[in-house]
Amino acid sequence: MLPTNCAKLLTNAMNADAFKEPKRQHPMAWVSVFVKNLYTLVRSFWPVAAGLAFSSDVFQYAGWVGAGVLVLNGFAALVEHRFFKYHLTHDALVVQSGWIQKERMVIPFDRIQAVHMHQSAWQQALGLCGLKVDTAGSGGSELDFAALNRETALELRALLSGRVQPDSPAEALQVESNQATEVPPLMELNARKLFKVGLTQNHLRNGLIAFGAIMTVLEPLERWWGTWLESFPEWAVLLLALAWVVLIVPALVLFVFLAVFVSVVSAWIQYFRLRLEIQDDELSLQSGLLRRNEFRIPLSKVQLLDWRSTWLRRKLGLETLQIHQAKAQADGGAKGVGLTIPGLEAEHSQRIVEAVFPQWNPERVEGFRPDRYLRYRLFVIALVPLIPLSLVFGMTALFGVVALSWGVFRWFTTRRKFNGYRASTDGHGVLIESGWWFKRRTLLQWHQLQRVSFHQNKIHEPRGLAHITLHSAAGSRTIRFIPVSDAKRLMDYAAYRIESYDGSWM
Amino acid sequence: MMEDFENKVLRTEHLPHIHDEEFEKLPVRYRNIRWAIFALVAFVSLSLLVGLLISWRMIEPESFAWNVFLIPAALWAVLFGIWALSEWFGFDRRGYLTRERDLSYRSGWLFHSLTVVPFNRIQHSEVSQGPVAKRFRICTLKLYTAGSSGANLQITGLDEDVANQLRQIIDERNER
Repeated sequence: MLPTNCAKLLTNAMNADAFKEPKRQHPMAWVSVFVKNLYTLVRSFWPVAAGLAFSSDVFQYAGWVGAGVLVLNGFAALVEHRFFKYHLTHDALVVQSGWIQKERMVIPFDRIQAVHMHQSAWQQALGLCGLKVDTAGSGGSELDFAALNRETALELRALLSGRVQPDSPAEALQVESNQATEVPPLMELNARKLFKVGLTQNHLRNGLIAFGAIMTVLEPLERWWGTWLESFPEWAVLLLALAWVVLIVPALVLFVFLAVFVSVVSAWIQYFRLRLEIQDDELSLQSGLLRRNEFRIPLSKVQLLDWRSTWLRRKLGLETLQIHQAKAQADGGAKGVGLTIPGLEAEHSQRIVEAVFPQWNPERVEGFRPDRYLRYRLFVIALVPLIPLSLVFGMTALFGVVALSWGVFRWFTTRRKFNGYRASTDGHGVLIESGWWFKRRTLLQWHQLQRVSFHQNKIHEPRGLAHITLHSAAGSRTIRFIPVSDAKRLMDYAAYRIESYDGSWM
Repeated sequence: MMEDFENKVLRTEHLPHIHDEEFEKLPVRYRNIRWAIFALVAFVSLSLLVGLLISWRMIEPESFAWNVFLIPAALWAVLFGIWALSEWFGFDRRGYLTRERDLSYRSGWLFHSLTVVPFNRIQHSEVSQGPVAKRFRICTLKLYTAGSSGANLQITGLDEDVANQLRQIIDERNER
């Protein structure tokens, strides 16, 4: 739960009737919009603004320009707040917005995938909450309430997520939130685990992002640090220029230190006091240091479970789980609705699977493994980087040694990678595994699939191989290089399971 | 009530096999359109290549070299050769199949694919037709399921009447 006792908050719970008339957000919502717009402006024009600030001609007007931007932005935020109104009908959330160009958005309750709450530091101080509504299906969209009273946010969430009907009495809302406080967590991230999660992040990516951010800040300020460098004595600059080779190792060490530091700090900011619960038919996740988020996903709407791990993370007994719901068609399938749970142990994963896909039985499965053709294909692809290297170094002895070492190394690593590919099904679900260093496991249910495809090319055909792609509402997964007979059997089975299932798939 | 109860054994080998079914072919006039497009693109690209060659020879005869055009010409021949083979062998592989509960489409010679879309997963369908397709009375049926952008199954080259019939079948099945 958010750092608030929900039961206490709802003692004066409003009746759902309160949402029948169009109403605005909390007055402080305009501050949120103001800050968000200002942040976007600063992020977009920061290098230009910093560069212009050093021009004395422009600098003398900086105050006026800044004041103008602030006033205009404040006015725009105020207009946005004043004309944003929402209300509930018996089956939909209706949002009206816009001043000159009016917009009316109707989101049927059955299209709502999840309702998430978030609290920035300033919202926590003022007792406010943000609310984000995720939707799916054709024409799906996303709605963000910038600031609501906590009570209003809790009530609205209960109504939108369907746990309480719009015509229910106020007591129903109170009972609902009372139950929420009594559930013991499925997992919590303590400081030790949080540190482990930070240590097993992608340091290279984080290091490069940090390096990029530093360069972005420094580049517009070149005049300032350039002048500072010029103040150095000539011999020091000369020494620095000559000693750059010696500085490579310290620079690399500094980069690694910076990358690990950024990873650990970002893990703390993102996953601080992470708490995962399964209550009734919902999965709830809370985390965050500066911005406290609470995600709730109805278990019945989960389409796909995706575990990812690195070698180091597995050694520490941890995995990251991504829980996917149906993607909105308007998002282009790129932005999946769901949540990420880092630092999961095997026991936690098992409990989540039992709750989300209770019929999945890993003890009774039929397995499918790719043909050995994939193993040789992986090896040949792994040798491709040697081609440009051969052009650079020529067919020298050094290149021969490098090529041979690389070949031997990749022969063993591609074998391990090949061994990581497998799929298995118990008739209800299908588990697709791949990878070695970066391992990935995906679990989905046959009856929730949207369609199924069979693929084969002229190289596979004589070898009797084919791919099967299972398309779910949360994304597609392919079982690759399996025998044609198995691919055809899986395709027929998928069609049978989808078509014979009469219930709701989401 | 109890005498109505049935619980038959279901074995996967007894499931309907989609690969064994005979798919319905697309109209021959769609094949002709495809060959016409192929011929047009091949002619235009070859004309550009030859035009470039003649212009060079006329403008700078001293620096002109035939062998410079060998690689683009070879690429042209390979590309259009593969395209022609795909058209020749691939068209007969194109086909659709309507079963009681799903619609399937198969296509491709070099890269063969078969997609099954169950009726109970179709969010909406669309029939589209450009000016050329209208002249030849063919159209494209697009089926949309949840979870991704654009049409999830697109059957191009359908006879107008067939496309409308298929759409009607989809609507009827979804209403049940």
